[in-house]
Amino acid sequence: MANFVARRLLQAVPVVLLASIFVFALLQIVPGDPAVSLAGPQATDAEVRTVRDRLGLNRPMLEQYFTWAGRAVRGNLGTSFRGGQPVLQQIRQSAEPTIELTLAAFLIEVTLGVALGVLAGMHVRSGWDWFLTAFTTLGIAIPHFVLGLVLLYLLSFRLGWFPVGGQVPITENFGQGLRSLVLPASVLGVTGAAVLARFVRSSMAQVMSQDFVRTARAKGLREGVVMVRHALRNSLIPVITVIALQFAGLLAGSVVIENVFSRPGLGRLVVNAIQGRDYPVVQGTLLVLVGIFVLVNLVADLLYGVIDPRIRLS
Amino acid sequence: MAQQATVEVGEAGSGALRGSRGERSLVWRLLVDVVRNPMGVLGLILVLGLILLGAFAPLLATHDPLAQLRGHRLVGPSSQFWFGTDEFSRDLFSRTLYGLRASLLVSLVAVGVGGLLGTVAGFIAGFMRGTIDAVIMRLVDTMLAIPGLLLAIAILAALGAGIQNIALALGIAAFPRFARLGRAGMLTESARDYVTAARVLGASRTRIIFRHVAINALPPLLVQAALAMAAAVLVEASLGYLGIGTQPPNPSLGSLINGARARLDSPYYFIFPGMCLVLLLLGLNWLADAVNEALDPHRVRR
Repeated sequence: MANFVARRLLQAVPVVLLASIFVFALLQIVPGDPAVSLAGPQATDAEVRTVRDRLGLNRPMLEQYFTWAGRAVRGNLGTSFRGGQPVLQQIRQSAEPTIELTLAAFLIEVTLGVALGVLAGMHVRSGWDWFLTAFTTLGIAIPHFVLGLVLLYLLSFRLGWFPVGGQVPITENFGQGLRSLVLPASVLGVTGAAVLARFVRSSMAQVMSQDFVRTARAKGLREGVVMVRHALRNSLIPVITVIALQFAGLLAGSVVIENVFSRPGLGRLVVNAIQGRDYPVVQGTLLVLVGIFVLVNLVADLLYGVIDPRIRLS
Repeated sequence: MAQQATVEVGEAGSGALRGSRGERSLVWRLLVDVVRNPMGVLGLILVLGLILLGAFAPLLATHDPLAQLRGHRLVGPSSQFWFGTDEFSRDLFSRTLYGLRASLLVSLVAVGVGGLLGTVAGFIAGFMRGTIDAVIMRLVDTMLAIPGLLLAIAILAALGAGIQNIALALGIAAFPRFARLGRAGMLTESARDYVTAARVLGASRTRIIFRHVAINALPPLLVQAALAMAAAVLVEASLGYLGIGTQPPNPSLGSLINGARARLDSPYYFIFPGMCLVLLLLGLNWLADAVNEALDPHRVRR
């Protein structure tokens, strides 16, 4: 097991390294000289030079990368061009509502996706199965922001059941927080569940036709025990990877959803930073997001190895 | 159809190693299977219909999509303005058509170029193996670790908005999956007897890759092409919605819906471009499913 973990960790290193180079390179290919734009339109040549020296922009590229990466590892992501706040501080503030949204959506997605998938997979070609097909088709074809706008229009604007936008931390005011969270989390969670349910269904349907399920039934086990202990447990192994990938998808989807529901968060932070050309914030946020994706993938692979010993040994 | 089949059988003996003949029959058979599947027909009709609408937007549009028509601000659908007008008194029907055109064009170009380069990179990785394979695949792994939308946001953040940059971002996002499939296809196909036969006959590496293996590895790539188109359309629309895609005053499906966000009291504003987008994605996904089923006769439905 230790061997497997070590090998998998080692494989993640080049991915993280490449991703960090990619994020670093982003700032290098920005058209125009960052020192000029930072110093302001009225700056003299000398002032621009001071800025360049201060930021180390005249050093060799490789040195700049290592300085930047070294600082990033220690949690220093630079300061925002606008307002001069440390980037890490901004990310921390924005992370909270995003985590809240993603976790809520994740909960909805996994519960709904696994339940629907198992039901349809247990009874292939039944009413449940057809319902699931319709549900997944729509879930895949309707973009987050379109579904979000439709719900926002119907439930918030017309019926007034939910606020039209904004966010209240759920830890501060549970009722208000929940009301501002339900719609965005549902949009993300339900569309994600559509994709997940499809995988659970096919995995479940496949396991149901296996010999060991027949053997379990032949032994005279109750149907419930056969389903839960034999079929479900085995069918969820491949689903773990999908769930992890879906989690990354939720995080990316929250970028758009935060915009639809005017919620603060990492997505809003990065989009506003792009529009305001606040490159350190763009870079820092992307680095954090990519780091999370790599981490989630890693955890999924490790979990996979824990659940299924065959993977660890091969 | 029957005639087609006999012609092929007649030439099969002399043309067993000739790629062009095999390609035609393979794609032809696939098309027949897709058309026989109701989901495939519906998907094909939707996708082709929308492509035609986009292609002939200049002929079909009832107004100039950028013209501000004084005195018609935010009016609902009518015989004069089929989809209503926006806050700048522009005709939404014409804007939706042109938006569809822009979205389709940029996605087609991006997936075409990105998919082709990805496939070739995958072929090379699978054929050469060794260091080149490892380098290409690590790069692909890294790209796959970042969701397409975020990758596109990152690229546009650096390069700035603009239609070429959007196409570039979407193309880069399409690249890794094609590379994976291309490599897998190359690995399975190059172990087949016909490759050995071609090699024995003295065919060059490039000839083997592009004339023989490429054609047999094509079908899964076709499914991926439809899925990649759907992904590109979705990402392009999301970028437009976030305001970092197609820039005003030019319309795209996403930026139209973005404009509608601030005008919730005029639901027609987001309903039409939204429906257009949903139908396009629905059609592409059905098409991908139908091609997939046609390739795998054992799987009746997913």
